[in-house]
Amino acid sequence: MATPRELDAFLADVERRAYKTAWFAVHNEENALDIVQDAMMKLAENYGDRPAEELPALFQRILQNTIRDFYRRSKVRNLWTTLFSALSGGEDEEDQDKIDRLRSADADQAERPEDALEQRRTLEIIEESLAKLPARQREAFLLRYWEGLDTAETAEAMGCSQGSVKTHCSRATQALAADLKAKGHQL
Amino acid sequence: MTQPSHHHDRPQEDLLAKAMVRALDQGAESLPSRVTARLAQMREQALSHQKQWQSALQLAGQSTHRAMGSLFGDSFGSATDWRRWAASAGILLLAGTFMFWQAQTQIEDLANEDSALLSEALPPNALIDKGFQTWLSTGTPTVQE
Repeated sequence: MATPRELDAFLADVERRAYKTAWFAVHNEENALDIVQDAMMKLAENYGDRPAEELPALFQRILQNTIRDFYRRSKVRNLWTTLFSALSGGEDEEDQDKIDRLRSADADQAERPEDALEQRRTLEIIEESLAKLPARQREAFLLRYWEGLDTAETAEAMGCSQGSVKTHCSRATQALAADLKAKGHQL
Repeated sequence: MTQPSHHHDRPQEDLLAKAMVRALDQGAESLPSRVTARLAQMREQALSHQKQWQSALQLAGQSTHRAMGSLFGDSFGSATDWRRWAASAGILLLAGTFMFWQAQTQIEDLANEDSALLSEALPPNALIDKGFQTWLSTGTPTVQE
């Protein structure tokens, strides 16, 4: 059973990555924070009595589900927006794959810390490339490599087979490498 | 569909992934202070809702409930039952108070009797003398040799 101290330590360790993961998915600071808050509350309220070693996989599953819930709500909202604009004479059509690439053109994340220019540039390119990935590939890549979950845990968090996780990770890495290369950047 | 190239490229993919993760870690470490403050606040809030502590309280409540249940039956617990048990406890308290009051009165009566007996001119031994008892009931003295 995780003690409050263990839960605190776990959340403190994971919260920044969780925020960035959510941000890559929704490209909006407030929405990303809301998603992380939901995930933290769900973990504490529903699984706070679980052993500390179970928390990482549980939290990632909750986080991914919360992101998916956000997508669903956005899809419904976009549908209504489209309907209203159609009624008012608009001609925009809902793109079915838009859900995988929710990006706001004016997504602002002001106050970037002042790192070295090159480091910052690299980070920006990686983040841009990550954001361009299909949602499932990004999810697999971040869970497997950033969160350090093994293939089985990643598969459980994503609700898919281990084979799918390996495929998603491989494709994600290849796509990222190709994107970086195209931008003349090498790691 | 088999993808042998994946296995072949795995070490290179891993290296690339690790390099990216290092960069991402740096990005996560340099989040704006407003974001880190919100995250800390959210963490505090989540901790105050941790299931374990609610469960601990519930567990304590359930233990008491089980103990009471074993004494009074399994139906102990609902709001109606609580009212019933509260009424029963009230009645028990009243009965206890009445019994205590009665015992006290009895003690006081005995004390009064004792003091009356001791303050009498007649010696207390006379009251347990058979002849005296007979004399009291018949009014005729019987002399015992």
